[in-house]
Amino acid sequence: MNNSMNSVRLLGLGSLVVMVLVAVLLLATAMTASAFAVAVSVAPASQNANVGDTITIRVRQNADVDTTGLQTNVSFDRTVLQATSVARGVAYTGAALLPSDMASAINTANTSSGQLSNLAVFFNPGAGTVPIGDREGIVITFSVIAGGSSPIALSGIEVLDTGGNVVPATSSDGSVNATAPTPSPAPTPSPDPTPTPEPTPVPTPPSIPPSTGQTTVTGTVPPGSIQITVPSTVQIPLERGTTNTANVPVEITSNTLWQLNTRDPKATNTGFMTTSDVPPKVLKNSMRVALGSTQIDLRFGRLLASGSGDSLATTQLRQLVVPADAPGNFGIDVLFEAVAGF
Amino acid sequence: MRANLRWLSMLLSLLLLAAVHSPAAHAQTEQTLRVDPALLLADLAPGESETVNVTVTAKEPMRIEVVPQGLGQRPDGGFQILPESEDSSIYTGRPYVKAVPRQFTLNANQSKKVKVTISVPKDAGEGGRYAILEVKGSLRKPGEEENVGVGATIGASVVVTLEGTAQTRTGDITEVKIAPVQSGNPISVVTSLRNTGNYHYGASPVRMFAGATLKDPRGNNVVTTVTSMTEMSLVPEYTRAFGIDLTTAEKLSPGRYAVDVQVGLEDGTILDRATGYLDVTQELALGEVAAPQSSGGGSGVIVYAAAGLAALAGVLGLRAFLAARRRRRALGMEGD
Repeated sequence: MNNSMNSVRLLGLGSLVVMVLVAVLLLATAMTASAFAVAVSVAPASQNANVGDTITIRVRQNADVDTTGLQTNVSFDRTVLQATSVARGVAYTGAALLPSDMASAINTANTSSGQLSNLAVFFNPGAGTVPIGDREGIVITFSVIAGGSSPIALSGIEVLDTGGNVVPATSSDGSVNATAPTPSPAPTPSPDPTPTPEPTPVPTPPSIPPSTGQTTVTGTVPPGSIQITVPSTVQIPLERGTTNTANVPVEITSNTLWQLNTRDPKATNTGFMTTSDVPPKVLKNSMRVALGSTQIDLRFGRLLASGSGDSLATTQLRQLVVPADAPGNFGIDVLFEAVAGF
Repeated sequence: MRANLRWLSMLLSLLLLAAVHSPAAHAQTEQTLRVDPALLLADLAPGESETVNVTVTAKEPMRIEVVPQGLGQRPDGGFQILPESEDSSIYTGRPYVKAVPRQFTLNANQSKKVKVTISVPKDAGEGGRYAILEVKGSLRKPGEEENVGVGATIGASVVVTLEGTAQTRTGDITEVKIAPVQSGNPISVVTSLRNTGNYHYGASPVRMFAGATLKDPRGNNVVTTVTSMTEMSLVPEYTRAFGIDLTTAEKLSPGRYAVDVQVGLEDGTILDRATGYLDVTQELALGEVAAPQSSGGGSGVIVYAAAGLAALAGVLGLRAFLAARRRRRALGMEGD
């Protein structure tokens, strides 16, 4: 009898523990889900254009968590704008882009719905992540076909974090104000031809060539700029008998040619992880920096990549630790140099 | 109850998974540095000077150092920031460049204008002069939890064209290296070209092209491959190495094969020609050429089977013609 009562008590106690545990876990789940957020916006928020222009709008995300995917509907006034293309933003370079039949999706939006539905960019598991911060997700170009105002409205937003969880999102829409060409006023016939006062002579600009049907077009290309974003510090594990790795995202925002070099700035033991001891302990193998199929030995700084425009590259630090390496706390500085090309 | 436990187990697994992948666990602070403009092009006659304001912006608080440095170039084409002690080129423009202020601290999202003055001495000589304005952000030392400090630097390239002086674009092939060929691989030819002129070339509108023709032991052309270089210039005194892979469906019989290499510019200038040799000791089947890399190496590979350098010269001529025509059209000298 006592045994059976004890069993009942134990069962009750066990159930209570399970219920408390479930409550704590549910609370933790709720806290995890609400701990992060993402703001999805249209950039530029407002822009002016003329009929006949091609304009570009960018769907940007500003998340406080690494993400792997972005999905949204984009609505517009199809009597003012016509979508012409949809592309991955810089942050999702190499990611999948949906719908797979984009031409059909664009056609539907332009001819009936006025909405590019379920546009999505996402990395397959392990294929990449988008770092925290303000990032370009989707790039859409439109042709301006008529004067008027068109919203660029976002809806149905879903942003996934690296665990595949939906991150709570807020959104900011944009708008386009299109101006139709002003028609030239028709000449009004003068019913009473009164003598016109002699016109004031207008000085002729000396540079205008004679009317030959040729137009001289001039313009100034501004000098390019470069911006580089890297993490401040990185942790690489140092396990023996293996090549340890750590990812370092390097984002370049530029409107000119650039080169990305990497090197270890220290003068001695260049390229090697060392301790702060005097004299320092040094790992037997130098660190490598890899990007795609390019791998650089940090003993010899060199060109990691070159290009033009914006780029987000995830480089990988690689450190082989062999059994003969001395124990200790090892560190290294890795410098990323973006140099303007010409 | 068993179902509930299964649910609980799944919930626990999900939470653990979320905890492992939680970005907060590997959240890292970023540093962003911006330089505008990043390319300083100055056409100055000897004795003249010009001042440009360069805006340096940081998104996070950062100590900044601005240092005029030499511009070097590695064989892979990468521009190299050279301190004064290593800057020995006679084409250096580093002594011409002064920056004020050279050191300052930026708060978050703050910008500062740096006054950069380029002064060309009267006895500067001819051609071009090159330098890099190095803008260094302070390097944050790793904390207890991290062991790699990451730094960001921007090199604003300075190109001074000495106005009213002669610009020469010449080059010498200093080496043609042909690696031993394994069956199933293409023939890998690495050619080194040194800019022996006094002005840079290689970027549009004077892009560089290289071609290689494989000739059999009888002197017959087997295959020609032409590659266009990346859009970066080769500066005077420096050497650029570039690879060309050759392949053909025909098996190579034993014998000594020649590889004729030719490097030229888009305007039709042939910079240099050279020949390397490949000894084939037994019948050899070559493999496919890998797709060109998007960064670093050459791009735009064109293969002309059984053609020779005459074909290459034709291609260079055609490209030169098209480039000249594009320029004439741009200037309104030629209608459609």
